[in-house]
Amino acid sequence: MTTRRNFLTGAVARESDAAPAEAPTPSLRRPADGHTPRWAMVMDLRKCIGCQACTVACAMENTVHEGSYRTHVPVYEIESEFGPVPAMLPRMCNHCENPPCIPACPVKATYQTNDGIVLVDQDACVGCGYCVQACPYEARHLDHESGTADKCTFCVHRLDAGLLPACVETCVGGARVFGDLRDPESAVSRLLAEHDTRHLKPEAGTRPQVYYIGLDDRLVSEVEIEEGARALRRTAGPAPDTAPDTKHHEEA
Amino acid sequence: MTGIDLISVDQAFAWRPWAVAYFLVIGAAVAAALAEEALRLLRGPAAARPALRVAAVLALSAPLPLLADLHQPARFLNFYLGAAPRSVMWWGAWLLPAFVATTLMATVADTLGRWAGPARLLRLGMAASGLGVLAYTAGETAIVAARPLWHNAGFPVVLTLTALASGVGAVLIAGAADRAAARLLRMALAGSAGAGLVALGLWLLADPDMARLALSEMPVAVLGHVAGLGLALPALLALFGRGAVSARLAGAAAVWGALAFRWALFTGAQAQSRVETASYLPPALTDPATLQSVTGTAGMIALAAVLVAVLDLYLAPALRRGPQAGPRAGKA
Repeated sequence: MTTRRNFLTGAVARESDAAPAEAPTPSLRRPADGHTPRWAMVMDLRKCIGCQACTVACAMENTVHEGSYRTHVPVYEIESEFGPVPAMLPRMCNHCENPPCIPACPVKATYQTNDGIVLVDQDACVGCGYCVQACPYEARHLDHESGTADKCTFCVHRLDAGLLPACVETCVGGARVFGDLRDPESAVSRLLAEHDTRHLKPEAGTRPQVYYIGLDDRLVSEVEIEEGARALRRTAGPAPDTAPDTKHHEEA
Repeated sequence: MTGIDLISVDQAFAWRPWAVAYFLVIGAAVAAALAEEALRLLRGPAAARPALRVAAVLALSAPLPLLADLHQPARFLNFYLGAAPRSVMWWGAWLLPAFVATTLMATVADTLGRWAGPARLLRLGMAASGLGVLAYTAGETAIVAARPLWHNAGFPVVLTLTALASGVGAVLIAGAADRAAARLLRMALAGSAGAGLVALGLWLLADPDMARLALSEMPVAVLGHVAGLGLALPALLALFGRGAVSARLAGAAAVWGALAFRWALFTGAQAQSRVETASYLPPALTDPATLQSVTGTAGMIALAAVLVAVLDLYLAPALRRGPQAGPRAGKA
C-alpha cells in the first residue's frame, strides 16, 4: 500500500466526481463534499529506517535555517531480546487538539485553523519564546534569522496546492502517512482503525494528532538515555561544516 | 536506562540571559516600591524617599532587558494591538508599563513636593501594579507545565521571596534615610531572605521527586550557593550585623542570591530536555550573550541612576524655585 498515492488518487477522484463540469480546485483543504478535514499524521515505525530524508526534505521545502529542525528523526540504540537494536522516533509538531502553545502566545500569533493545523503568524510574532517554553515536545524553536517562532506547518502551502507535506512525499519507506481523520476512507483513518496506535506524552493532556504504529513503551514519554552522540559532540567540539572557515568559504 | 542516542539534536535556549536580568531587576523594583510604601506608612515620607528613588531607577531599567530578550523587539507594540487574556505574558505587558509609569510619576511628584492628592493615588497605583507584576512574573513561569522545575507550588513562592529580599537589599545598598528606617529594612530583609530559605528548603526537600529533579537540573554547588550566600548570609547579616557596611553587605548578598537563583532556575530548566533524559549546554558566564546582558543591564541601571539623580539634585530644585521666584520678582 503506497498511502500517499492512494491519498492523492482519492482526493482527485472525489473532487472530479463532485464537480465534473468545473475545473477541480487543487487545494486538499477544501474537500469536494464540503466537510472540514482534521489533518493528522501516522508514523509507521515499522517502516522508518532513520534515513533523515524527511528531515532534509522539510528543511529544503521550508527553508529551515541551519541548526534548526521542523522535523527530525532521533535514532536511539535500545536493548532488545536480540541485543542492542536501533529505534527511530520521528518528531515534529503534533498539531495537538489541546495545544499549550496557543494560550501562551501573548499576541495571538499562534493559532489553529479549522482543519486542526497549528500555525504561527510570522508577521505578528514578537519572538518572546513563550510558546517554545510551553511545548512539551520541543517541536518549536526560535528562528535565528527571522527572530520568530518556527515549527512544522504540515506544509500547509503544499496542501493548498494539492500536494502532500514534503516529509510524507519524500519518505522512501512510506512510514509517514498523512490524511484527514474525518474521512473514514482516508489512509490515516484506515491505519488508525486497523492498528494499535499511540501518541507521545499522553500525560501532557495535549491530545496530539501525530500517531505512531509500533512505538516502544520506552519512547512514549521522556526517553531515558545515557551519553551517546550528544556527549561525543560536546567532546569533539563544533562539526566541520559549522566551523567559521567553512562558512567563509561557502559565502565566498 | 533505555539506551543511547545515536542521532540527536540540541534545542537552543528560547529565553536568553537577558531574561534573568529582567526578572531580577523588575522583582527588585517592585520590592523597593513596596518597601517605600511600608516605610512611608511607618516612618513618614522622608524615610521612604531613598526606597522610592531605588524603585524609580530599577523600574526605568527593567524594560531594557525585557525588550532585549525579545527576538523581534521592534514589534513590541503587537502586545497592545489585540487582547490575549489567556496569556499571562499579555497581562504582564500591561502591568509592566503601568508599574513603570506610576513609579516614575510618583517619584517626580515626590521630588517636586507637589500634587499630594494625585501622588497618593500614583503610589497606590504603583503598589497595586507592582503586586500585579510580582504575580505575573511568578505566574507566567509557574503555569508552564512543560517545565516541571517551574510548574509547582514552591518555585513561584521562592521567586517572589527572593525578589522581595533583593529589592530591600537594593535599598540598603543605596542607603537608608535614618537608623530607624535602616532597622526596618534589615528586619524586612531578614524576614524575606529567611522565609525564602525556608521555602527553598521545603520546596526541594519535602518532595523527593522535586529534589531529584532540582539536582538533575542544577548542580548542588549552585543550590548551596543560593541557599548559603544568597539567603542565609543576608538574613544573618541583617539580623546580627551592625552599621552601614554590614547593611550594604547584606543587601548585596540578597541581590546576588536573587540573581543566582534566577540564573540557576532559568538556565537549569531550559537546559533540561523535555523529550529525553539529557541536558543541553547552558550559556557560560563568559559567553557573549551573558556578558552582553550583564553590561547592558548594569549600564542601563547606571544611566537610570544618573537620570534620577539629575531630577533629584538639579531639575527639581530649579522647578521648585520657579513658581516662587515669579511672584517675588513681581513684587520687587
